[in-house]
Amino acid sequence: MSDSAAEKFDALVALIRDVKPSLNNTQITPEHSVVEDLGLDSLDILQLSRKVNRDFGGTFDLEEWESDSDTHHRSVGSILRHIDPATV
Amino acid sequence: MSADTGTETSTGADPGSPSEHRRVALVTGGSRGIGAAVCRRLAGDGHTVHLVYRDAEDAAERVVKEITATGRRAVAHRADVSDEAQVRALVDAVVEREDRVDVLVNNAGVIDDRLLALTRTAQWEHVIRVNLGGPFLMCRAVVPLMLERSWGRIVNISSNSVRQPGPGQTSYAASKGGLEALTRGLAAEVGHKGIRVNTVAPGAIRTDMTAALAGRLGVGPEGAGWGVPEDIAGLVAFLAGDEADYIQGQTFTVDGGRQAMRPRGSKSGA
Repeated sequence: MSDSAAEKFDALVALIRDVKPSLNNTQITPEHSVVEDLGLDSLDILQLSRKVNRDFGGTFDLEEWESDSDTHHRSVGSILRHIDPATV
Repeated sequence: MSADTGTETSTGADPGSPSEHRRVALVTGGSRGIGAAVCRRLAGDGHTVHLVYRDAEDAAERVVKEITATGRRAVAHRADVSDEAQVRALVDAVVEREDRVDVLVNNAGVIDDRLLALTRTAQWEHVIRVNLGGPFLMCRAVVPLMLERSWGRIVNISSNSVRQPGPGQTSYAASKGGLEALTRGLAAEVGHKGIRVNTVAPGAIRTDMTAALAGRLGVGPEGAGWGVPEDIAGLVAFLAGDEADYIQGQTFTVDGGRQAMRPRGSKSGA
């Protein structure tokens, strides 16, 4: 992961922890599923998408990401790839 | 019919609070009565106020001018809160200007009192659509914006007619009772996200809308027993602020004690 990608990942993890403070002491990797592994519910994901778009410049399409969930398993890394395909 | 004139008569100046901390309030039914008092109060507390009116453009403009004369910002929008497309356009217009909505006051409402047996289905549906459907549409449009910042305040304006309806108030009381239930349901959904949802249930408040109802509200035309819109605005402003952080899903009656006390002149136990 490049420095730029690492920075974006760290920023995304901070947003995930902001949405779900109980994850503050949990290590989060790009492979973790935000649903199955991290336990975000639909409202958490809606909130995360709004925060991602605010902080990353409005490039994360929640519906598009959700429609591809069969292949990306709603992983943390897949959110970064949706924000910027060149990132990860 | 499209929503939003977005009329602004603001100076943009806000000498009293740092702009980065200025919260944005959206108040439906903000041109008259309780809504206008809420707008004035929230503006006085430092909010930028976007008020929504359906027909009373002149009254809305007067409220905007009153607020901007004090150096605060206010914007008036024309919209029917029971119309999904207009609500979407309204909220888009506010976001375009402010990029946020921190406080939503669902105050817009209609009264169309008729005995149930004489109520047409369309009349019933209109009251439910405006008084209950409107807040649903507004909340659905605004909650995602509040989630973005993990902070929000929603205050729904109900009525003590929920608990003390008069004859002919089935549609009004049902719509406001539904609004109180909406408050509790939404509070359960979004409370852990920093959003507070509460209801204020006014009693007999002297406004244009209630002027014709004096007899049925049990208050005289000379003024005894009436509350004024500012009696409601103070509590709404409190519930819209940081100090209300531990208050969630509640309904507060503001009726001068009418509900709590037996009618004057009646006997104990009667």
